[in-house]
Amino acid sequence: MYISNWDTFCKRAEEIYIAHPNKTRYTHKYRHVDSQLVLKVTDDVTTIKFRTNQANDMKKLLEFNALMFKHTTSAAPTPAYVSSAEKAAAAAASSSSSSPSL
Amino acid sequence: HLPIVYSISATMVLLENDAFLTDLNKLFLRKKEKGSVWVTFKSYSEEDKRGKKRRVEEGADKSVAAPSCLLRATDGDKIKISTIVKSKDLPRFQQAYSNILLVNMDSLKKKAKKKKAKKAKA
Repeated sequence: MYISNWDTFCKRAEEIYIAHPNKTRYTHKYRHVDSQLVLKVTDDVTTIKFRTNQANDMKKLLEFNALMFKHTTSAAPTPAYVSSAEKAAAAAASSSSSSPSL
Repeated sequence: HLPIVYSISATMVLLENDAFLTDLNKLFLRKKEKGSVWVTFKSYSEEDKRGKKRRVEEGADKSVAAPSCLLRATDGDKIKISTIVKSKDLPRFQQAYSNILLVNMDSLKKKAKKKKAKKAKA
């Protein structure tokens, strides 16, 4: 149920949402005392979770929230998550294509 | 001296976006010493309220309205608040929401890189 790889969690979460947009819900739970943050996505059949205690992961939380805001307000959600590996590949591709030829 | 939360009632209170954000902030402040804060996102479309599709009159607009985002927040006990965010309000709401999280979720651990480097040298 707990997924430790962030990209895997996001892709899986998106799959679950797009398959059942009416049933899927996303929850985040924060415990200040324990420094714990848990993200949970479920459609009442499949449940996945991601947990962390790292301040660095706030960025992940906000990105995931943005993704969920976008999906819950669109009539026909399509996969939109771009993993960090894909972003790096895209950045490398665009920088190599824009470099001046000698 | 705990901040006053507008809605401690053990029933769900539906609020306007701004009131929800204010109460969410207060909920986080309230739960600093003890407890958890849950926030749930769900897709909400008004037309499915009764679970049946209403009879569409001839000539009526058949396009499905874009759903809204239903947000709920709770402390797992008595405080339950919710709000509905429409896509037109989304950018402003998302900005404010992110700020509330950044300000309040500050007990997460920072990486202690410098300490490790010192230990390695010694």
